[in-house]
Amino acid sequence: MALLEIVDLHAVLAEENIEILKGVNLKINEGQIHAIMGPNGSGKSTLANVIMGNSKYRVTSGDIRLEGESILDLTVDQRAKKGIFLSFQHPQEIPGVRLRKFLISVKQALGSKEPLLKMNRKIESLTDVVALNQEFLERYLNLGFSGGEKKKSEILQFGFLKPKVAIFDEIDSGLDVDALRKIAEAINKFKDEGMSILLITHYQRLLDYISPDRVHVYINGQIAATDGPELARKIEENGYAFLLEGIER
Amino acid sequence: MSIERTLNLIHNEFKMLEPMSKVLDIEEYTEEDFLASIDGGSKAFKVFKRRAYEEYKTLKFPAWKRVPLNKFSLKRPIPDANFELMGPKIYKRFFEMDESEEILAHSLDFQGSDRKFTLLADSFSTDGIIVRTEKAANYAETLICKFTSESQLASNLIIVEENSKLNMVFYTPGGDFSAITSRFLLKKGAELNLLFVNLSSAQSHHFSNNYYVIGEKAKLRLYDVNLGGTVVAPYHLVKTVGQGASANVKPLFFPVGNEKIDMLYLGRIIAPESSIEIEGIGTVTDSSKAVFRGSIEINKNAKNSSGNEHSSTIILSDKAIVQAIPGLFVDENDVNASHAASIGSIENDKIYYLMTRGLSESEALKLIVAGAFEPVFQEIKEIFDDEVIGGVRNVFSERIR
Ligand SMILES: Nc1ncnc2c1ncn2[C@@H]1O[C@H](COP(=O)(O)OP(=O)(O)OP(=O)(O)O)[C@@H](O)[C@H]1O
Ligand SMILES: [Mg+2]
Repeated sequence: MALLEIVDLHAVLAEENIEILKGVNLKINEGQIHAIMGPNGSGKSTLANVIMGNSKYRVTSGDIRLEGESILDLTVDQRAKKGIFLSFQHPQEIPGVRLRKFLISVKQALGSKEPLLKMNRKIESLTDVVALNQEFLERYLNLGFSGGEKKKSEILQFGFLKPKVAIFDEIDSGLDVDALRKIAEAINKFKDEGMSILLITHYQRLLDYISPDRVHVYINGQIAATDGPELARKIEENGYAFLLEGIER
Repeated sequence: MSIERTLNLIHNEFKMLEPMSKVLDIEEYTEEDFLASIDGGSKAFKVFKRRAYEEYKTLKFPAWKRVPLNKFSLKRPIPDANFELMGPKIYKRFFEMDESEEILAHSLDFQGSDRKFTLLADSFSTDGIIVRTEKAANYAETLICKFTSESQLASNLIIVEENSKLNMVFYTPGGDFSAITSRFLLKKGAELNLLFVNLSSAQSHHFSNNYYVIGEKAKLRLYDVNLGGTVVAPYHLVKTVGQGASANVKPLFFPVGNEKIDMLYLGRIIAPESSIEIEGIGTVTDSSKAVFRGSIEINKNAKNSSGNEHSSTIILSDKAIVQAIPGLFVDENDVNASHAASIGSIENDKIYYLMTRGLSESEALKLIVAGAFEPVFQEIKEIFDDEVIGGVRNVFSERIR
């Protein structure tokens, strides 16, 4: 059975009734990595936000299912509690909330009874995994973090919260080569632990380190093509034009 | 001798007229009340209070507009000053005032949010504290003055002697009325870290009037933590008179329900190379109202000085009101001055971000609001006694809803 299944999903901007998702179909099984590529403005981030339940968008038809059950009626936090995680293209800054304390209180809000000492050890070891200096744990959440540091903070949160399925929206933008490799290793490691992953990316270079089970090309609110990893290479070389020809009428 | 006024009436040769405000007609204290309040005090104490009372008699209570005083009346019997003192033994009672202290207190006379309230405390209070540090002494222990009764009238005089360093807390855990007038003198090289915590709320009236004179290279750090009440009116006038003097003023406020708070923080920069920063942080919710008046004045000849005033307020309800009234008066060109106010609700994107981590909407909101106060709480915790601030944190977080 698919872990995450998206069926003919249509969604509009809630305030303006403008359709952005125009019939998306996607099926991710347990332990799989899928990649989505697509031109700017095609609706990739919107898809991620609609899966997460962002109230800026309204689903007009279709369904999103986690382990076979529709999650459309769930609030954002309920979806998170069910095991969906979104790593943001542009993570928010939250002043006054220390990263370490934040991680612990979120874990507790999710019902964890793990002793503090153990949680702290876990958090500290994760800073190594994502190559973030431990000092960042005492800083306010993402506040003044560089672009790359924010991405590392997202992966750290992901690794600590251990969702069933994680969506990474341009995790590779803003990362230097070493950080990219390190983070790819981390993602591979979590995949091996059984987590499913959806990578939204513009670049082949991330896929040099992470080998996706499927690559989807997303154009104008729809998935226009799906194939193995070679599709990503083809796009890198040729751009999206050859696919656009196929769907234009 | 003239008093330190709230409005400087002459700016750039223009003379301003002090606005006439409406007055309240309420039952007053009597001559007998006054005589009872000076009973047993020192000679200087009696001189000080007699002078205050003679002026007090000629004035009426103001009605105020932004935060109306229409529910205000004087309490009977006249409230005492009841307090517990903890920390270094560098204080005596206000009624033990000696002649030199009387002269000093007189020279530090000021108008306050309204002269009537400043004088109410000075005329009818039976007590208060006089603190005087030793020259060059550095006190490791915090001096805590905790008011312990429902209602308070008090006058205080705090002298921080040359090159000495003191941490001090005025703590009002609750209560329905207070009028407290305090005068502070920081001599050359002195350092005072001062925390006011007033946790009174709901049905209460509080008038806190404070005047600070800061000498050469002396440093004031002032934290003023308030909730709100029928009327809560903190007033702090900070004046740098010595070269290189500095003051850092950080008010926190959080009225809920129908509570109101009307604050005035005024930095008056007289000496060159001196600086005053005022940085207010607050939240309003339900139908509460906050008026934040933050003002900086830089006098002619205060070269190379700097004055910055900023306030930021989070609004958690459509019915809550905040008025940030900044003032900046600069008579000298060679300065660095700014003021700004930010008022707004919490960005939905921040709440959404936290919700994607599994926090409910209200948990996310609490976290963000608490986060706005946290850096200042952290500073307070590092300087002062842990216990006081722990309680304050809880009171604030219980108000977030
Ligand atoms: N909240 C919003 N308000 C207005 N327009 C929006 C909103 N969200 C998305 N859109 C529009 O919908 C389209 C899809 O945006 P989206 O951010 O999903 O694209 P994307 O594929 O992630 O692009 P990129 O590769 O640049 O990140 C864009 O044209 C965008 O302007
Ligand atoms: Mg995007």
